[in-house]
Amino acid sequence: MADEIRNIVKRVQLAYTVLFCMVFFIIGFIIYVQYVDPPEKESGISVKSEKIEARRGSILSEDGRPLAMSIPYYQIRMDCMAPNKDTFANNVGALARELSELFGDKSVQTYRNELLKYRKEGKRYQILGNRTVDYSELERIKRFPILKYGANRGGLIVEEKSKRNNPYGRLAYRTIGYINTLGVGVGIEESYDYYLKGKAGNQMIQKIVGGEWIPVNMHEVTEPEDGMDVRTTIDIEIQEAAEDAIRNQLSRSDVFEGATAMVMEVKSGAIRAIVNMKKMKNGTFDESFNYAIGQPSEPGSTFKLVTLISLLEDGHVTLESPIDVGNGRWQYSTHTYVDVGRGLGLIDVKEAFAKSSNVAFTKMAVQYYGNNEKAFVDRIINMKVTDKLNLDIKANGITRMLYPGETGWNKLTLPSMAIGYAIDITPLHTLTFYNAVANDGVMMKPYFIQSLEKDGKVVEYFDPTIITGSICSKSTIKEAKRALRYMVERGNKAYNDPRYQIAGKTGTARILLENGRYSDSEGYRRHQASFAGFFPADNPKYSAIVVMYTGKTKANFYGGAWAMPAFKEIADRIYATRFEWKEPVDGSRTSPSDNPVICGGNVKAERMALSMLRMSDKPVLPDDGWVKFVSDSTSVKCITIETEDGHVPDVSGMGLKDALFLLENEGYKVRFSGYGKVVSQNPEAGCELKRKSTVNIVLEPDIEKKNRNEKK
Amino acid sequence: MKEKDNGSHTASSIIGDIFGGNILEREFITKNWKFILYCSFLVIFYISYNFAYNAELIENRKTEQEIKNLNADYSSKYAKLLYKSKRNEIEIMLQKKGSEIKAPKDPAKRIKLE
Repeated sequence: MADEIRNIVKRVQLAYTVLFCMVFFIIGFIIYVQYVDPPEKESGISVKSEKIEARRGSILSEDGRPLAMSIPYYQIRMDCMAPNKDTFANNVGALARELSELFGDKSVQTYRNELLKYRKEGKRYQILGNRTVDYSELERIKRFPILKYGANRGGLIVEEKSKRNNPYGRLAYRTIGYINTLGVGVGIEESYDYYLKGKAGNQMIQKIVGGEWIPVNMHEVTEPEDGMDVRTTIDIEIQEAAEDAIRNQLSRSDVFEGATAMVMEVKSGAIRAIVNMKKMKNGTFDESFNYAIGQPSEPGSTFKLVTLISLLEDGHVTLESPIDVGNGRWQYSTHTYVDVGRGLGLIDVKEAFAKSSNVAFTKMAVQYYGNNEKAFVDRIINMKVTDKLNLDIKANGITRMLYPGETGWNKLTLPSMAIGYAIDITPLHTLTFYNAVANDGVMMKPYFIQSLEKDGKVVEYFDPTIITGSICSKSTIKEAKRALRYMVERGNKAYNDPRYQIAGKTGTARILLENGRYSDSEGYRRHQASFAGFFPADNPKYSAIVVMYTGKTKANFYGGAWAMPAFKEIADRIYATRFEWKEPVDGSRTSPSDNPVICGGNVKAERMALSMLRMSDKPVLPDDGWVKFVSDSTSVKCITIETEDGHVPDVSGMGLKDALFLLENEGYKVRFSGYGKVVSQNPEAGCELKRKSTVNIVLEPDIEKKNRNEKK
Repeated sequence: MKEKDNGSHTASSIIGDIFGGNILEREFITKNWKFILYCSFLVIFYISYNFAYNAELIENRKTEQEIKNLNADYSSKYAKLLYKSKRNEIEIMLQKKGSEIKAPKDPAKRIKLE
């Protein structure tokens, strides 16, 4: 009995000893690994402070599309010593080939030689490539030879950097602006930097066994505050239209140095487009200089509207008052004022305005304000023409105007001002004034920023502001509008559009040169051709201004010939999308047909279209999928389209958008010609066809619809 | 049975006890074994709990990084798409495909039914 007990005890002792030794060694090993000989020998850092970057806010167009957004870009570096000898030697050629193909800056051989050199020189943090890469390129690089083994065995080092991306390219670039790391910049990026940049956060992280970093103490984390999004008033379509029109005009002559265009919404003062083009050293034009707001200059004939309104408001003339311009030349004091073209003789004020007669306006200015110059200047001030604009994009249009009695004021100052010289204002000032006329005398403050938003919610909304409730009496406004409409109707017949009416004024001015005169010793001059106006004339919705600046030239550049075409182009493009400007067509007396021709398409869209049609017997749609319709003389039948993998679906009768979507979704490439509905497809519906093969479709406009329209 | 002359006070005898398992015979252990077992259970629980917490933190960071990556992917593709959807770009693409489709010059008409 005692022996048995002793055996049991001995066995238990043995078991215990073995287990105890195991535990002893495990604990000993842990202590060894943790403190005596840690595996990560390179970095002695085990706890560090990590800055959590705040996401910079985006700058949005008025409908929320981003004009500027921050996108992560990655700097690719390589630890050339990390891969082992064999891996490196066997794959360096393949890696060089991939790098050369991706970056395209060096040949395969050059890359190969460089990689070998880096390895020999022991480079552990070497930049690869000539630029940062975006996310899809990064994913490609992660699969490259050698680098695909990761950071430790392949040597791939990726540094994330945030880069500002303008998805629409250079559209409105000068206004959107940019800012560098020192906080120096231009445009909205700079003036709204405080709202855009947010606040970086901070947390302590520590490295645990295995190389992973984890936050240390959850209580000490300061969360980052992402920046706010700035929603502007810019309408992308109108901005594009304005830029296209300006670029078209600029390409018509080598003499142009720059141009600007702005479109303002009459009722609110919101700036829907702002284009600034300046000629660069290589001869192309780019958004680089703020002509619109930063360049005050003598406006020229567009200022005649101010003079006209002043004369009308003071009751000195009406549009029908006669004025004799004689032979188009008028000497006053030391200067001779000249009209373009031959003398118009005896005309009325309306005609003088339409023909932009310098003689008429200088004569009237001297006649009615000659012995009370203050009255004229005070009118200008009261109508806020020269006021500082205090814009929300933190730009101030500067104006310069002399006051009677000030040094520099002489007898010629008054008549010169009447025709837009001896006074400096920016194009935005002119536009603001024309907008006030379009808005029945209510002068709206131009603004660029609609709201500040965070995560889609509006944090602060900016309402339109009124600068002054009425610049002059309502009757004067009526007459001014009449004159502006007459100017386009009579003065520039080519731009009379039967579909909608433009009212406005051309402007031609000589630009003051550095020598203080308007022409240099060889007779070269610089010009400023402009057009300011609004449309539609009977119920103005938008006002706009176009100003083109030339370099030195001996030719003449008139606003009517150079600025007005651009204005018309912008107005046309805006008009083409404004279906609400026209009265709707009355369709109430037509009887709905019971067998309309319906395009094929996706059930979801068809369901919505069918709900709007008035038919007595509507076809029944399946729950989902694609359908096409066959109509006979009395009714419409719905046929489900089979989409079988590897077979071409039937797209006949569909519009281009639906046919493209369905075919490309099935994996086919599409070639199309014509427009309208699909009338034929090749290969035929139901044929077997491999993915990525091409399907050709031909479209034609619906003949039956055309015939029906012709009958009406 | 081993007879200890002076109890378990000498160094070698203590080590022998620990390694040999005789330590388990000591009164301290035999009287309080339940408590010792409870303590070791707590230790095990504490270690595994700590480990699970760290693992979850690592998992969180991994997921956050993945979200960042997906966001990056989306942003760069979205920006490219926006550029392609510019009217000028679409007109260029249509021209390349040889299509006759042009932008409309007149607005659509509204039809009043009621």
